[in-house]
Amino acid sequence: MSDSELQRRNRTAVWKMLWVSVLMFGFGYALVPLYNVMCRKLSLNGKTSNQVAASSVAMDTSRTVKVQFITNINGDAQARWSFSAPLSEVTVHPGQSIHLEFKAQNRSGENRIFQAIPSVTPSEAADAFHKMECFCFQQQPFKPYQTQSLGLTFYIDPKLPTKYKTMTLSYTLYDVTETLAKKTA
Amino acid sequence: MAHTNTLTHDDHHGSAPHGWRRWLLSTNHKDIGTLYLCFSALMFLVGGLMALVIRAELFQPGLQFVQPEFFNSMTTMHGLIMVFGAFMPATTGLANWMIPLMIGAPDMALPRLNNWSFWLLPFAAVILVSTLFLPGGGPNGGWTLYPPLSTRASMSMDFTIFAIHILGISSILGSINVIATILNMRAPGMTLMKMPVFVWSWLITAFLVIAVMPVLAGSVTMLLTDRHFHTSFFDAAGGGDPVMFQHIFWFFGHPEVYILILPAFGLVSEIIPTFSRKKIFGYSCMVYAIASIAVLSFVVWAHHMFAVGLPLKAELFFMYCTMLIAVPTGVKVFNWVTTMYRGSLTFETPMLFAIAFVVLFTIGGFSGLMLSMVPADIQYQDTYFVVGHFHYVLVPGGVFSIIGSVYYWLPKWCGKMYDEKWGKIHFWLSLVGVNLTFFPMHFLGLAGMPRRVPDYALQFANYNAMASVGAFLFGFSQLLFFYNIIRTIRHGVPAPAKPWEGAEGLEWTVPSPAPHHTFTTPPQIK
Repeated sequence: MSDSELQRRNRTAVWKMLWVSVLMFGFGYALVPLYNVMCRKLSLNGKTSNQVAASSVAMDTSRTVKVQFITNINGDAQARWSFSAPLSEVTVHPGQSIHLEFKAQNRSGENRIFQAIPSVTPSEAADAFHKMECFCFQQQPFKPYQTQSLGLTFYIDPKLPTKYKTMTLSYTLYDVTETLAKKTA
Repeated sequence: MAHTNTLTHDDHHGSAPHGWRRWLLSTNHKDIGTLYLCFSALMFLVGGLMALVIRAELFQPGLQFVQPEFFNSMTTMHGLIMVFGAFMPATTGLANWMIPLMIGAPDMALPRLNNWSFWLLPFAAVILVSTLFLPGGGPNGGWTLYPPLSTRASMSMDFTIFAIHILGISSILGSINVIATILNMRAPGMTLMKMPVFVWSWLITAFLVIAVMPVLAGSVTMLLTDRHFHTSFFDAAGGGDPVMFQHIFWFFGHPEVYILILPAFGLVSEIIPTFSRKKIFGYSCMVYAIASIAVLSFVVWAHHMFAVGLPLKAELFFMYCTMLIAVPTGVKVFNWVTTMYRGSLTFETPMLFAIAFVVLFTIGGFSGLMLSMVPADIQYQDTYFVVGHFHYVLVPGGVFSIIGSVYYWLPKWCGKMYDEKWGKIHFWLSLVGVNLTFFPMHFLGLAGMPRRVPDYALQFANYNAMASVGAFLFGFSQLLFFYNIIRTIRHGVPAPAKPWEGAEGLEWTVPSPAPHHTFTTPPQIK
């Protein structure tokens, strides 16, 4: 192999490898949408749909499902908020629509905004949890010391496999006031 | 391949720069290899000092020496510095020194790039270590940089992210160089399946680096944009998911552990045949085993996160794939043992380290198998059992193989023979120290002691005291290692071109010390 031939081959190798590196950098980012698709297809992390569900389905009165409710407040937002479910659990027929009013209070003396993020356990049942109305669809602005009721209307899909008899819906309250302020600033 | 003056060195016409310019401007693979190894030794001491801070604090329950925040930044920095500052540069340095000598090439394929990939490292290291002096202290959320701790950490996290970017660029460029060298610069007749196992292991490692270091760069860039540019990759309130970071990180992280250990496999595969006076048993099996470990490393990442709430099917998939890795690894251990079987063994210092590697790495492999089982892992995760496991594969595994290979090639590098007596003292002190440090950690973990905490319940006191004594013994016996090296360079007996009776390979055909330029006329391989 001549010198120039070797130089050419080295140059080709470098460019190829650099391209692989750039592609793999992109692949790291491609993992983000891929992860979301995988979560949906494999029911990975209990995320529920953020779409408003269609309202009427046939009720399956042959069985009941127990739905439990949990509320959490993220991190140091606990000092500024209170957040509670109206009851700890409800027993429903699949297809039966249920309306609940959650309660939240801004305990600080300033205008604050929160975003609630739902999560369903077992995560495989998350797809069967349909929301017709939910306060988690939007960010919720609160005035100082204001208390608000937060509506949730949902039903359980009759297609839910019969092995799931209990499911837990957890809402985590995230205070997004500062994040929003930074974004608009 | 009849090239005699392939590479246009700056110092090709007898006007080699002297003093600091020789090192700063070097394009010589041997000089750059030396720089890499010295840098790695320095980082090994810095990271080791941090480990000793950790062990000093854990000697007794309660808080004695440091605050919990500083303790946490010690565990974080110890991990980052050892992985990116000590380990990867050490194996890259060995690759720089030995690969051209082993394949009969005059230098690395891209000498100037080689210089640059080394000189990025000191800057990255300074940035990383400087975080300890920033307001808020060094990064303290663990070397894995999980959000939300990392997205909410102080400004030291930004510096850490930039340091990781630079370290990543350095290792990618180094790997490109290794691949170009191995693929294009082999001496005539040196077919791929005639290459030494060390060269093979580095070829595969380099591909792993190019495949996964950019993914790490991507994930820390996402952290950076989450911190400062209002993206919400990992922020649940903005629609992101902190668990996703773990997936992306470990997609890098698992191949990364093989980036650390595969060159070690290669090193041991050079040392054991020499002192067994036999050819390596099952050469092609060894090559295929390394390749299959590398391929499998891409499909096992979630075994680092069995406890995050994966669906059952995913847990089973990752569990079985993880167990599958034991097969090629077992092949390698089998072949090392079989190479020694009925060989005429002698136990010089490099061989002692290599044998200790085989035994102790296997112990680490077995605890890895225990951790691969999901139900057991859910019990063991985040305990000292995990710490014991990965230190067994990395310290008496990886570090021992590097120390052994330094003793093995030191006569070639500096033309002097080290003192066998001091080498053996160093070995036995290290062996006792390493086991005293890390073996009790298994018991601590099984008893439920969590990792990354500066204080612990009273019932863990005895094993922790043992581990701390062992850590100081191991740490200080490494000073003996550096003393040995300096003593060899200053007062060693001149070494012949081939100091080891059973050694084979091109590197032993050049004089000791290896002259500045070797194989300017390529050797003929039969």
